[in-house]
Order: sequence, then C-alpha cells, then structure tokens
Amino acid sequence: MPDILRFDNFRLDLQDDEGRRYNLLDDISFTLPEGKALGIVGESGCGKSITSLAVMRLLPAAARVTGGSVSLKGMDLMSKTPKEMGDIRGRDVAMVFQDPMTCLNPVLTIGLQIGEAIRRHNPQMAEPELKAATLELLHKVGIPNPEKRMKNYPHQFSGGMRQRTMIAMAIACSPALLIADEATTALDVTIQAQVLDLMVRLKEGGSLMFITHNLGIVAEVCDEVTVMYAGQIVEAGTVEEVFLHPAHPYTKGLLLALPTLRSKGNTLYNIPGVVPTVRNFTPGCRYAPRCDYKLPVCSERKPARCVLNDRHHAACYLYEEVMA
Amino acid sequence: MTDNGVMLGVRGLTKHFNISNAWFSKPLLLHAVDDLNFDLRRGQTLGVVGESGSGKSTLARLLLKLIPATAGTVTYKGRDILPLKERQSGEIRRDMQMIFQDPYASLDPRVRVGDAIAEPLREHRLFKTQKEVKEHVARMLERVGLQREMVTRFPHEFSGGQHQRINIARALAMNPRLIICDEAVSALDVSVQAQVLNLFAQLKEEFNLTYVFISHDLSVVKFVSDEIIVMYLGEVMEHASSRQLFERTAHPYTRALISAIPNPDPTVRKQRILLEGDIPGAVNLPKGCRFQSRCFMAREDCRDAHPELRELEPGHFVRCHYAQPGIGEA
Amino acid sequence: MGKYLIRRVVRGLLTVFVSITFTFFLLRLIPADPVSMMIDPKMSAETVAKMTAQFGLDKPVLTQYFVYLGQLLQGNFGMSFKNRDLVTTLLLQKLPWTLLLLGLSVSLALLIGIPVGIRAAKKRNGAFDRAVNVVTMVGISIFIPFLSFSLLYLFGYLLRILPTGGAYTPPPAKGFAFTVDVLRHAVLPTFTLFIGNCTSIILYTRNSMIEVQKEDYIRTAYAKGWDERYVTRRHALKNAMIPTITATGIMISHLMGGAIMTESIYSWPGIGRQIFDAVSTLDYPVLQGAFLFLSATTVVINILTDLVLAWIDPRVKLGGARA
Repeated sequence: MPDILRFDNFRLDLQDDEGRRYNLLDDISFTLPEGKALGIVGESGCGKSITSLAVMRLLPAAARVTGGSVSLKGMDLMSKTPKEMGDIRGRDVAMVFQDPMTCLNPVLTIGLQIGEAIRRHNPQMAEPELKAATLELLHKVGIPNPEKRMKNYPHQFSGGMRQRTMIAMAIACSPALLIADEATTALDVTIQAQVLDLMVRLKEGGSLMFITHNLGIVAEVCDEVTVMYAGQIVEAGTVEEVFLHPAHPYTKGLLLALPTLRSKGNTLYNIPGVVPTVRNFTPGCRYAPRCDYKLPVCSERKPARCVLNDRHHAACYLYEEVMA
Repeated sequence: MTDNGVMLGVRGLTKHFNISNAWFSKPLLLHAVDDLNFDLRRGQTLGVVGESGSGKSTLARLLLKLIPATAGTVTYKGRDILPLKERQSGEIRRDMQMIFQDPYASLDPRVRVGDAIAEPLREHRLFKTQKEVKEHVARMLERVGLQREMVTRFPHEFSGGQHQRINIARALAMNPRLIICDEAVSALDVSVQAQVLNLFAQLKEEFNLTYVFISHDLSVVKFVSDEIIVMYLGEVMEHASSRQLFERTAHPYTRALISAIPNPDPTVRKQRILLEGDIPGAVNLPKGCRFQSRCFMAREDCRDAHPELRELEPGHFVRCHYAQPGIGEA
Repeated sequence: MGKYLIRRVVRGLLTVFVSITFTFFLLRLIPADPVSMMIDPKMSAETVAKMTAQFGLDKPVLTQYFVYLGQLLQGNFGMSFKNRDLVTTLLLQKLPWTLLLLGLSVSLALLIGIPVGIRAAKKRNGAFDRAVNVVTMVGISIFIPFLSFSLLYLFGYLLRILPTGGAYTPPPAKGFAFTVDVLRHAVLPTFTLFIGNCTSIILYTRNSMIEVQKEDYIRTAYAKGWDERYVTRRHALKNAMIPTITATGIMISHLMGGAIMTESIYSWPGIGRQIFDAVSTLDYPVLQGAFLFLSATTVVINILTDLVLAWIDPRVKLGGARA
C-alpha cells in the first residue's frame, strides 16, 4: 500500500521574540498508508498540532523548519512555492480545526464560506452549479434544511452544526487526506459522537489523520497511532498493539492515568511532574525526568527507534536489547 | 447532629433567568435549574454530570449563593442558608469552598501565591498572629504537593496543574467541610488530571471532606462519586448511586451519554447509541419530557405528559415514563 | 427595527436633556456675569440693571431654567446677548462651514488612512510599517496650535501662497472662482484636522488588521487554498473595519465641537469659532444653543454608527447585546 503522507526526520524550532531558538519537533518520522486513519496523541505542548500544520504549510510565524521532509502523495511539501501550496491546500489535503466557534468567519454566510472552498479549485464552476454543490455538501454533513441554512451566519449555528460546516468545507474538493485537529474537543459528548460518526462515514476511500489528546477517540476511530511527548515520537503502531501492549513508559502511564468507566479503586496511576514547555526540554529522552524506569543513559542520548514487531515500535532504552 | 449526617439538603431548588432584553416585553424564561432535590451526607461525593445547558454550573453558583435562587431551599447542617445575609453566613462561607474550572482565571496575577491563600484566612480571622497564618499557608502548600518556599511567587510562575493545586490549597486552608468543584479538572492534561483527582481522594480521607463534583466528563464523575445526578436542560434525569447508575442504567439519556464516551480499549467495539439533533435551548420547553426530541425511545405520550422523577428501586430515581434498569443494553 | 429606533431616539432625547441642563447650570457657575463683560465701567447702575432685566438674568436661576425649557419646547433657542441675532439663525449660518471642514478632513483621513493602515499591517515591522509608525507617533504627539502657526508662518507668511485666515476673500466672488477661493482657504485648517484624524484611522485600521489576521477563520480561509490577496479582501477587511467605523463615529462627534481651536486659529467661521467667541463674552444663549446642537449631533451619529455596524456585522442585534 502506498503512503499518502510521510514524515522523514522532520525537525522544527520555535524562535522567540529575542531570536532565541528552541527545538520543538525532534526527528519526527512516520507514515500514513493510503485509506487508513492515523491518530496522533499526546498532551498539550507535545507538538501534535504543529505537526499537522506542517502538512498544510500553515506554520506559525515563530516556527523554523530545520531539517527533514514532509511528503504528501510523493510531493515534497517543504520545497513547494506558496502558489503551488495554495493549489494543494483544500484539493489534496484539508483540515478541520479545533474550535468551531472561531474558525468560521462571523460576517460571511455559511453558504458563501462553503462555496468558496469549492470555487477555489473549480474556478470554472457557474453560480447555479456552485449553489447546488454547496447544498449537496450541507446535506451530506447532515445539516437539516440546507436551502435556508446556507443563508445563515455562523452565530446562528450550534457548535455541532458549525463543526459539520467545517467538515463540509474540508471535504468540498474530496481531498486525499483529511486532518482533524482536536476537531471534537470543544463539543458536548453526545454531539462529539455524532461528529466522529460523520467523519468516519465520510472518509470513504480517503485517509484520515486525527490529532487528539483523547485516547478513547483514537481507539475507536483509528487504525494506527503515534504517541508524541514533548516533540518526540515515543511509540507508534497499530491501535490494537499500542493500546493492548503499550511499551513506552509514557504510553503506559497515560493509559493508566485516564479514568475510564472501567477504572477500579480510588487511585489513578500518577505520572509525577508536569509536561515541560519548549524552553524546558531536556536532552536525551524528554520524558526521562518523569519516568519511573529511567536509566542514566536516558538523559544523555535520545533512544533509537526499537522495532518490537512489524506493527509496533517504541523509542526507549528498555527495548534496546530487543534490537540487539 | 440531629439531621442524620446530612450536610447539604436541597429542596425544590429552581433558577429561571429572564433573557428577554426588551424593556416592557413579557419575560422569556430560561429554565437553568428546575425543582432539584438531593441530600448529601458527610464524607460523600455527589457527582453532577450534564452537557451544555444542563444547568450544572448554575447549580454550583446557586449553592454558593453567587446568584439568588428563584425558588427552593438549600440547608447546610439543617439550617436554611439561602435567606441568610452576608454577615450571618460567615461560618458557612468558611465551611463551603469552591474550586473552579479555569485554573488561570481564579488567581489574581498581581498577588503572591502566599497572600492569595492567606487573604481569606485573614478576612475570617482564623488565626491570632501573622506567624500562625504564614505557617498554616506553608503547611497547606506542602499538603497539595508544592514547596513552602513558593509562597513568594506569582501565579504566572506556575503551570496549569500547579494553579489548580494552589486553588485547592486556598480552599483547604479554610478548613472546609464541603468543597464544590465546578469542572475542576477539565482544563488539565491527562497526567496532571490524574494527580489532582488523586489529591482530591486523599484529602477526602484525611479531612473527612464532602464534595459536590460537577463535570461534563462522565468517566471522571464516576471515578470520584458515590452518588450521581444526571442533568438535562435543567432537570434531573437520573439520580442513583454510582454503581446503580452504571450497572443498572435506567434513563435513555444516561444510556446514550455512557455509550457516547470514546473507550480507550480497542477490544470493546460497542454499539453506539447516536442521539439525533442538537441539544435544544432551555427556553420554550416542550410540554412533555424535555429529552423527547432526541430520545431513541420516545413514544406518543412522551410529547404530552411531563414525567415526574420516580423511585425505580431503592435510592434509584429516574425521570422517564418507560425507564427500567438496564435499558437499551446491547 | 422600528421599535429599536424609537427606543434609541427616546434615550437620545434624555441624553440631550441631561446635557443641556448641565450646560445651563455650569455656565451660571462661572464667577462672572455676561452683562459686566459687555459694558464699560462708566455705565450707570441703572443701565446695568435694565440690561440685566432685559436678558432675564435678574430672576432666580431656577426660574431662568424653566423659562429656557419652555422656550425650547416652542422651538425658540433664544437670542444672542451680543448682537441680538436668533441663536438658530446664527448656528445655521455657521453649520455649512463646519460641515465643509469636517467632510473634507474626515473623507481624506479615511481615504488615505485605511489603505495605509492595511498596508502597514500586512508586513508587520517591515520597512513600510516602521515608517508609518514614526509618522503616526509624530501625528499623535504634535501640538495642534504649534502645527497651525507653523503652517500659517510657512504658507501664509514666508511663501505667501495660501491665505492666512477666514473662509473666503471678501467680497465673495461668484461661481467657480468662489469655490476655488474657499478651497484655498480651507487647505490649512483641513490639513490641521486631517493630521490627527488620519493618524487615528491608520492606527485603528492597522491594529485591527493585525488582530484579525491572527483569527482562526483567516487560517481556515488559507486552508482552503486561497492566497493572501483574496483572504485580505474577502475575510479580513470587513471584520477589521468594525473598530474603524466606531472610531470614525466618535471622531465625527468630536469634530463637530472639537474644531474650536483650529477654527479659531484660522478664523474659520464655523461652529467651533462661534463657541470660542461666545465663551469670551459669556453669551449664554449661544453657548446653550451650540452645546444642545452638539449633544444632538452626537446622539444622531451614535445611532448612525450602530446602524452601520449592524449592517456589517450580523452578530450585532439592534437592541443591544451580541448574539
């Protein structure tokens, strides 16, 4: 199966106002096979959102790419001109962002905002056709009464309907890859369930990349998962492998720290300390300061990627002997 | 105590907001909380769960008298606290403390952490000397897992989880009996959330605390609560012990809520109950059941007859004409 | 909509009422009386008393107040102490000149300020932005009388290419020549007002453009594949204009009365100048009339600003809060 998306040793720094640089993404490598759903999980500040923005080349002004490559359908994205990138965005890759309250323009109608997503890559389309296509999209994402609704403004929509609108815009040109960045985090649980269901149904033959802190969503929606901590990939594999046999101490801790409907007893597993900010990243494995299994070498050198089996690997010295 | 251990008694508690903004037009009522009843015993944790518009945050503000109630009573140790004047409620304000959602917004950025914790102590004159106050503040910081040297620092020097610890230390310093948590861990990362939840559990044991724990996250509520209230559009839909609620779920809304939570165990591929439509606003409510517009079990009479909260089995209350334990189970 | 307008007008009338009451009593708190300011000390006490009675200033202040209100209700704004003209006539004579100055300076400020602000926001801290920053800093901090006198000295005295005062060269010419003459007279006062206004328009536009560019919906538009030109035109501009429109409304209300200094320095025969003259002679009726007129225009401009905002921003519901 060909890979739709491929990160190779991608490195990215953040530069502050005084010009100091801090490494955020440290040799990020992963692939997303075509037609699959990949989840990228981690807590806040782990670099998962910036990884997804790199695919769109919509990085914040403070970001500096310092190495590696990102390729989409075999195209090297970092070498594209802004104009070429404009042709790729929306057509080959599209994105649904976190906060549906702020991601829609408050002074433009829903119909216009969906319509312009279609028009960008179908400039020859005439007005009646465009309107029909917009209605079709609204219908597809389950917005009742589309004729009337397309004349509404975002503030007249509920949170769930706005996120449906965002999805309609994202799938307007049937992109090969759809990225959802915490797309359901701001929604109520029962609405989140609807939106997740919608995204999975609309995926059809396309590929999905789910950025989330919610392990449950990954388990239910994704085929593969990549776990990030402080800008490093700590573990990756199929959802079954990683969730049932977590290898990295961070993944294990995360799964144990999460209260679930099945949690027993009155104490959760405690990962000591806090997620560091980019200014406080430590050398070596960045999880080492919080790790229960820390070895002296962990704070000196970053562990290599250890292959546990063909569907599972982790970056941790505990598994070095597996490689040897 | 004559009241068989009931710390907090709530009867018929109701809050309607008039959201009409015209001057002379007739009032447009938002039913934030309608006829809420519960008894919370010493050392117990009551979980309140609901989605947007359920009225759970209004409940927190009502209990703390931050807003006046439209009707109903709230008794603390047998004494009705709603009519009390500010002056008379000193002891109660000390006994009942609150921890809010946004750890950043609840601390004044210009006030040193030590002073933020000490301020209510001084106001209530809990200690005779400044030295005693300082010592108490330092002890509280240590108790929530921070260092006593941190008293001189400013809030911005702390992370989100530490902020929430400081808020807990501030509440705890008053030696409270009852703590009301409104989405107290919702803004925290999973690993930090676990630390704070564990801290709540330890403090409960240690100080024999009673909690009202309000959250949108059913997994968290289940983890901390002895008893749970499920709210929808201002009304209690189901009220039961934590165990009954999950093992003998009776209300279709509770069932849907449980099934909507994404499960991190990939071996469990459950049949999900998808509710249709949006959560309606709590204005112009239907005559019948408030949940009927989204209910997968709704029948004709649900639209006309408003269901009362009824006791399905001992200690298990439900507001549904057709509820039965284990409803909609796959 | 209709209901909303009625409510706004009622509230506006209330505002005007409060403002004229304040003006009325404040004027009478000034420790000098208008009669003594227009007579020479040699006048007999009898004449002074007669004049005082003629102006109605011999009655108790409260009685004067109710007489004034009664006159207002009949549409009578009173008569100038100084030259016995009807206040209404006097103000209506001055109004076109003030409007001319205001119209010229505000439209120039908008025409130049908005594009400059947008351009500066586009590349924040770029060369253009930094140049604009310097210019606006100067524009804000410059002392208007200093600027006016410098301009007068330079163009009126040294170069002698522009007139030094007034609105036209008497006797007024006819037709096109008159227009040219008036415009020549208007150049310096317009420019003086333009400096301050344009500076604030540039700053408002630039800052709100910068804020809007950080909004999530701008990122959404880029994510659809659109380029900067389209995103700016379609998504940023309308949102960024909201604070600028509010600022323009406030600016116009200020200018109606705020041009006192500029109009006085250039002897421009507008309302500001009239207020200046009336203050120096304590001409109560003229001052009362002028302030009533100013508070009424402020109310009207506020209502107009809100209507424009509601038309641009669908979230603004007429009647108050954002939806």
